Amino acid sequence: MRLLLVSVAMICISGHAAPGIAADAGEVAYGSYLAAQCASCHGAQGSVPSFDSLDVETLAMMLEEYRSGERSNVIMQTVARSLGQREIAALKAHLAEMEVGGE
Amino acid sequence: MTKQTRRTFLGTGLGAGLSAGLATIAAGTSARSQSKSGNLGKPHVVVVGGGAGGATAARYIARDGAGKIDVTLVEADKSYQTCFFSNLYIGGFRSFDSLTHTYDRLVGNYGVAVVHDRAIGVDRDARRVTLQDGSLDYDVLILSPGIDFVPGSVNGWTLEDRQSMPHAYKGGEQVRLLRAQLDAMPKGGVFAIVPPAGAYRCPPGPYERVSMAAYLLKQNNPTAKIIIADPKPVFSKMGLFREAWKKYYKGMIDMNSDVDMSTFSVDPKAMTITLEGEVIKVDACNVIPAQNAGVIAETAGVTQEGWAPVRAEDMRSRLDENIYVLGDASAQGDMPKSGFSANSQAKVCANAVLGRLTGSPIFPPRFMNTCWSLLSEDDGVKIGASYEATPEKIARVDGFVSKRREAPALRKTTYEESLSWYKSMTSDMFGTDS
Repeated sequence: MRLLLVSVAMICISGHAAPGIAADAGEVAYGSYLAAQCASCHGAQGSVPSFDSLDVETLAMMLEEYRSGERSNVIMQTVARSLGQREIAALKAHLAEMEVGGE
Repeated sequence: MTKQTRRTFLGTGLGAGLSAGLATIAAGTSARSQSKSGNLGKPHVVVVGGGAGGATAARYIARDGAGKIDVTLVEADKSYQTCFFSNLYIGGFRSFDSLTHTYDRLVGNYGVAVVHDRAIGVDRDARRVTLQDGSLDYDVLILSPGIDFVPGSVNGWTLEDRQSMPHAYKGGEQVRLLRAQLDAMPKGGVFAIVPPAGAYRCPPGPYERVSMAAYLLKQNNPTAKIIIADPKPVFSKMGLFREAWKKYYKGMIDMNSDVDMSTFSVDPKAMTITLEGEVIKVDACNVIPAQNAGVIAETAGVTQEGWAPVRAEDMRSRLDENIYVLGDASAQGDMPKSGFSANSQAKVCANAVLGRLTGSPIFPPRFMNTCWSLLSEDDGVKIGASYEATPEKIARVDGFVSKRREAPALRKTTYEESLSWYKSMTSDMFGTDS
């Protein structure tokens, strides 16, 4: 329960779940679909981080850094280049939903 | 594992209106408690083949269908040994057990009905799959049968010869046999490998196998020789493999490219190969024949020239609107035949099948692949790409490949990344305990 509250608090601080810009169900569903493709490498924890070990803002920041080439993994650079703003917003919505759900 | 009873499912091939009516009746009479699958009125998805494509599709449709769809997975074997990473077993980097997976979690955690049987026929008009023991009616059929071998593609070799000259290209016991034969080679003996021509599973696979066999022999039998008799002039990651062979296994590997297969032959009884007119005695020989779609795809009549053409947007057969074909068996365009590709395609297909059967949103298709290869201890390389659907095919968008002379630290990271991928990939196929 404490973890869940912390997660909610983090989302509120990050502004993601602020009133008025809450993700709609369609966006969360799209994010879930996109995250399924990520699960091939990020489903379990190994030297590659599991998807649910990342918080929303870290994910968005890392994708941006991969896209710009600041981060160097060629797989993630290719993935990041394939994601538009709509996709990143959907992934963030999905991740926020997972955090709230305590998964 | 609990024994599955065979059933013929009724009432799943009805029109949508009638199905909806029956669904109400079924709910009213608690049909749900009668059986796990094939409830009246619930759409029934049958998946044939429990590998990277089939297991993933079954899991995602069952998980995201949230009880609205019955999913049956037909797989002959009770446990599954991944073909990917089987070369690492040959090199001594993985145990055989670490490649073995079961379907328990698909049954227990996701409600997939797993039937351990072999699909031997498809009646496309009746929408019925015939098994060796029974049959299954479907609304949607997903075929993910992997590959079978083209008879006569290597002179002198038939499938009957696989004990003396294993193909070892479907994982499992054949891989264990090949490893045992490498271990049993006399000092200074000869191992021959015959990679396939044409489209085949895991493009870097035969060459990673050479690397792993060389690694194994270098430890225990360093004067042994490896002869490659390759019908192709070039192959995947060729520069990277050749660089590694020179660096790690100098003098061990005799690479023959562009071999004329009309004059090449093997003799599994005499344990010889005939290469450019010369008869060579071999102590172990890995014949990887030319390939086509797993036989059930051909039996179902959804293949052309050996492979099953599919639409890029959802992997639906171009020859039957109720059948989807995933992974190695499909002809989809630019994606290599790999477990990663099949897993990626399965998720696009699952989303489309869910949308079709339940009205849930169908999102734009997107595909990804990466193939890692291990060259020597802690020396991993990779090749991969992102893909999109076009009206003609799955088309490559953007990709990458490891470079020659990379720093050892990067190669080690790449290898560790592949280990992490294996863990995630098999969780994605077979489910997790949490």
